[in-house]
Amino acid sequence: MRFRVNGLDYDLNPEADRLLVDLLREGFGLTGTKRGCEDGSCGACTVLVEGEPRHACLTLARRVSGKEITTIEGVSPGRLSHLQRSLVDSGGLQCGFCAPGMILTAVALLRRGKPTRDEIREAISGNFCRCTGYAKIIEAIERAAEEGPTP
Amino acid sequence: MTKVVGARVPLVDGPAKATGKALYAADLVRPGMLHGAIARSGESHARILSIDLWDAMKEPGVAGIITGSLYPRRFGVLPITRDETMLAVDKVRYRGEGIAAVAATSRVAAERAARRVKVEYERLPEYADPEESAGPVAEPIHAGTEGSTNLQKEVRQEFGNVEEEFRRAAHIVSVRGKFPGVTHAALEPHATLAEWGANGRLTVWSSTQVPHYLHRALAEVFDLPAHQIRVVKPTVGGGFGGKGDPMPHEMVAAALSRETGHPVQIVLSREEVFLLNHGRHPTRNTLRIAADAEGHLRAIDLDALIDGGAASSFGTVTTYYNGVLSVGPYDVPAFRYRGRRVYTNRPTSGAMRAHGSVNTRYSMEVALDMLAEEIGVDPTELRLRNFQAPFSTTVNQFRITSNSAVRCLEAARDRSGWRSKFRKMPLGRGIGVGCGFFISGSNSPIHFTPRFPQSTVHLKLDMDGGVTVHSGASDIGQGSDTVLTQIVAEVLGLEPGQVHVAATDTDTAPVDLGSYSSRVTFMMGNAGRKAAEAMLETLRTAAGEISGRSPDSFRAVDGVLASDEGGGVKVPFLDAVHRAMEHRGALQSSGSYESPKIGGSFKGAKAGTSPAYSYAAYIAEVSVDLDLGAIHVEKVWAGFDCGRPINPLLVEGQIEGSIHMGLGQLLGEEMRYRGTRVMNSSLLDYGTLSAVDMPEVECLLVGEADPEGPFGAKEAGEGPLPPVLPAVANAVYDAVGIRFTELPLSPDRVWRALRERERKGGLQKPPSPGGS
Amino acid sequence: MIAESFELHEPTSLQEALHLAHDFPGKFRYLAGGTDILPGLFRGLGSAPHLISLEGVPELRAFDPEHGVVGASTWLSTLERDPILAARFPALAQAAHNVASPSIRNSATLGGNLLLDTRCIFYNQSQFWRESNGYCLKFQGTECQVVPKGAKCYAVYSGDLAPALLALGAVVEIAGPRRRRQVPLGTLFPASGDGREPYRLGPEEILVSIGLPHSNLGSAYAKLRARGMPDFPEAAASVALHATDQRLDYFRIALSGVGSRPVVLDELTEPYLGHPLPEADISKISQEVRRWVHPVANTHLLSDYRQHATSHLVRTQLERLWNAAKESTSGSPSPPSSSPGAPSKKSSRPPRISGFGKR
Ligand SMILES: Cc1cc2nc3c(=O)[nH]c(=O)nc-3n(C[C@H](O)[C@H](O)[C@H](O)COP(=O)(O)OP(=O)(O)OC[C@H]3O[C@@H](n4cnc5c(N)ncnc54)[C@H](O)[C@@H]3O)c2cc1C
Ligand code: SF4
Repeated sequence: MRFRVNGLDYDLNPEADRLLVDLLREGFGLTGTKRGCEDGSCGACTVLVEGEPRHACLTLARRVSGKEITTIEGVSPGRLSHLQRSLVDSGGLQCGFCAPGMILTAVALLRRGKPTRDEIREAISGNFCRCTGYAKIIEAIERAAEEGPTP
Repeated sequence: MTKVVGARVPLVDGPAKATGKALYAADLVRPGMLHGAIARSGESHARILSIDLWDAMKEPGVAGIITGSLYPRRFGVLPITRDETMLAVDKVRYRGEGIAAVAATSRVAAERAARRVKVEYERLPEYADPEESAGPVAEPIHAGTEGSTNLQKEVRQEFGNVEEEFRRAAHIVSVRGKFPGVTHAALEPHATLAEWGANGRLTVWSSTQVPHYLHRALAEVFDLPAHQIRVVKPTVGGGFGGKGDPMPHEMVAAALSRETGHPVQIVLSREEVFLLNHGRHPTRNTLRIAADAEGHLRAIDLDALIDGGAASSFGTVTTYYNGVLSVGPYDVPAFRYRGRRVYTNRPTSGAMRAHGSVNTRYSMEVALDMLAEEIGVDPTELRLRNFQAPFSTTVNQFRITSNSAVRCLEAARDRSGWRSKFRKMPLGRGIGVGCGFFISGSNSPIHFTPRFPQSTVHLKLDMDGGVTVHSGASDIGQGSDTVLTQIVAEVLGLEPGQVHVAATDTDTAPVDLGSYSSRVTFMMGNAGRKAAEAMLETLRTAAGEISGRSPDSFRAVDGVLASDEGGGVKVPFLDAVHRAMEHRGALQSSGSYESPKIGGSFKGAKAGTSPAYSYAAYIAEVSVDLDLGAIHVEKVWAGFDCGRPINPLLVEGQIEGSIHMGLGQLLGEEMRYRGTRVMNSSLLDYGTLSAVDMPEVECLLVGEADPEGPFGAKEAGEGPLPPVLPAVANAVYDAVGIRFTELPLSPDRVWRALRERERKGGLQKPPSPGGS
Repeated sequence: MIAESFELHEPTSLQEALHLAHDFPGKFRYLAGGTDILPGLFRGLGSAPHLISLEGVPELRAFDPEHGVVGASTWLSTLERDPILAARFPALAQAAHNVASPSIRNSATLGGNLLLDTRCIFYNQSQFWRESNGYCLKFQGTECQVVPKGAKCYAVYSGDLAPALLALGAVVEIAGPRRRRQVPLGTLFPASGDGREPYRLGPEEILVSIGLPHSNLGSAYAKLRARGMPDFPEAAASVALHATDQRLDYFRIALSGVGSRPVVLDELTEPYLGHPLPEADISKISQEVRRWVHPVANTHLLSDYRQHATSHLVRTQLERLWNAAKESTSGSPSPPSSSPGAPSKKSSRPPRISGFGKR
């Protein structure tokens, strides 16, 4: 079975009950995708499937074989995208555990156009953060939006 | 003027975190690694009659199983209360305690096998009610508690003449507060990887706030010389106190590695994290304050009953803090406290951000609001009358140094437009104030004799000109590596990128008490500064040798050592380094911090003493939905005194994050129990606030430099939390005239109170101080 | 967190899906977005040796908001974003927008949402938790933990879409091994209101699509949740109405989150048809709503509060919708069958099924 992750092909036959989050982490060594809650509430496992944010902990791995998957490792290989830069510079991450999911959610949001502050809040409301109180995350996404649509 | 210190320097590990490259304990893999799982007790108080491992052992993939009786040595974060074992021995004390542990070739195999462990129990009476636990009980949870009760710790203190002050008082106000437990809910679940090397040396990678406590506890539990153990802290995904204790699963992973000869990793499930808890204690308190006719505080009389759960953890400290931290930020001539912490058969409570101070602070600040109303003064004015003076001593002999409480409150009051809002907005809208203070690290290290410093930092400088900084302080997301980088860079006149912090590998890091009690910036910062200054001395000497100027005339700025002597000269940093290295090799320096001798000499006098305190004054504006009871916090103005901030970006992050956590506790978070059973052990059910629930926050950093803090800095990690709860509660009172002294203020409970008030004569704004 | 292992089947047609179901009687579950069933399976809430994914079945992807046809596999994010849907069936768009959190809505489907398992604080727990608590009537146990002597389960129906669709008068198309049927959505939710039976479908039946016959109703949806996101409803209400010459000719209220089934209050609303809706009646109706709402203490918030909140949500929606309806002077509550409108953004979707939703 073929998986296309961050533009690379991986061949592996996961068991039917393997979740995407486990396939990425344990199968492909892509540990940037985090496991935070196990009930779909925290969003730390968010990845993009065909460009849309999905919870990798609520997705059976086999269901996304053949689809274009982007994890945090594939957002901007080798350098920081301006969204990532903005998150770091604005203090939008502290412990960093929510950052991968948060960034992927924001990538999809910014691709849809320039969001308002409320749209940002709403878009990241399924990504929990316990450190920042969200203020600087929102600010970081706002700043990144100023810089253009391709985060 | 400083260049790097005081600047908004982004986290040094930010790029690694933003790209998914930062490795957390659950991300680590070692060759041959097995996965561990823990079979947990479904009983909350029971004697173990037998454990049957047969079925578990037969599961495919199982490599080893252990039970508690193999490793019965006790540990605990405080040396005086070691009452935990890695797995239950003889009896279980809470539902979720480990019984046996399995190592297997996959996570799933280990979990399957753990489920097959069969245990026979004899049930014992369960204790869920702290009142009951405070009295004689049929079956004390731990042996050795006084008078056959579940009392773990009792503190009684009295200073000044409390009785007399209450007799003479013009005003007496009392509050009875009830606070459920809350928990850290750091986003990263705890994880550990342990590997017993062929030479008999143990390495443990763990998501911990205090590598050196874990180090110490492992040595005790496995009866090894400490130098045979190495603890490494990878990137940690938040702690807030929840990763401060040495934890049972960390011992279990090590034991399983020893039994199987393989590295073993244990990653806790979110439910297990909730059962491990160590969060803020459920507490009931009764607080009375006495004041003279002008509203000057004369006495505090406080009683707290604290539900500790199944083990001690930091509980002895908690018991003290619940009392002694009530005296600041105000000047109070008399103070009496009785605090009791009892065991119950619930998951253990421990230290959580603003440890021991939140619940007391809530009652105190609500009481002050009531006092202001009784006297007819504005509550901000009442506080201004009572703030303790800078450079003073409290009744319980805390040494107070820098203190900008007044500026905090004035800033928040001005920015918020307090005067035009307080008691002046329509029904349903309100504004309120709450203040606080917090320690910048405990003055007495709990583990070491006072002859050892609390923090030590080593610097290494080699031919490449890069500075490696070794420290045992642990960055758990708060940015201590960044702060240390800034301090060293500042002293040596370098860009932050030339300084590399190599923290928290106990093989290379000097002993440090880790990240808790808001000690890191102050203590590690001072140690780091001294280490860098010692290095600078060496480089000045070298620069003097190169240039013929006197060493003392050199300053380090912008990558050079500059002297104004003899028409001025600039020696490039690297030249000075190379000169100094001649015939000597790499340069090293060391700095350490030891807090001054302060505090009284009575029993418990050290609790709450600190070389410096942060101060805070918050104002919050709310609207209350009169139909549905929901409280909407519109905005918080956070006046904060952390001395001179080393990194305002990070300080603001601490304030905003603290407000998130404080509002969570106020508005909805709660460890819900039915008896001893946790009802909401998942992030969906526990209810930390989401992005759409958060108000706007304006941070007002108005502190003045502290004389002893590194570059004038004090703590900012915990002090920002407590004031927000009472500020909002007092704002709710301003909005609807109802005092809430039981948390959380969830919409259903607020709604009930609103309805009851309507029935009893109507909902209205409280009277304004000048008479309405 | 481990599930009993299962096989995954990925049929590409309705027939194939039905055949597969037939091959594994009693041993399969359909899988749509998986956002409800997967966390359940991994918590040991039931087992399904065979999961039959419906994602590859084209018929379930129909999406024609113009004519009020929405396939069961439509993502909730599509429902909340589609401008035509939002204009014609505001309640549905609002309800979809209120489900879970944004990224979950990219996986969650309409069908899965309607057929959501009922919820309870004693049931949505880990295997370890339930085992040590002696299980309960809903699953593996013998006694309800909420109403100990009760004969039924009070687990709460917590879907957001059902009340909106019920208020809008939705019809569902169901495909079984032998026949297809169209029934009013309400018939899916058994009157018994037992939390053990969240919905009633034949063992192999597949929900294909829903049809919305009325496109010019004023409608709205409102939800009470413990925090902003991503919580299930603690109470929810949807209202749909239409007035001609200031008299109601369509009026429906439906509720969720307060009982073991979604409730339609036709008994309450029917007497008002043919009349205007003065403030006094709005008050009366929202008061009366309470009679249909008897939550028990098995969610996070207090039961009396949830009852009150339901009534309040109904009231605010009634006020708003009636005020809007009064102003408009449009004709019958059914849509003209060839109404022009903006072309669908999602016109590249597979063709819609025929003859549905136009009556
Ligand atoms: C953190 C979190 C928060 C949530 N919050 C909410 C919320 O606020 N409101 C809410 O309503 N839901 C909520 N949910 C539940 C869930 O995400 C949604 O209800 C979603 O719409 C379910 O759709 P699905 O496609 O994922 O269903 P699935 O999980 O795939 O299926 C659900 C059930 O429906 C059956 N099924 C699905 N499609 C068909 C079909 N076409 N024919 C026959 N049977 C079918 C399945 O067999 C299964 O029994 C939440 C979930 C999570 C994880
Ligand atoms: S209502 Fe009773 S039977 Fe139903 S799930 Fe809850 S506890 Fe179980």
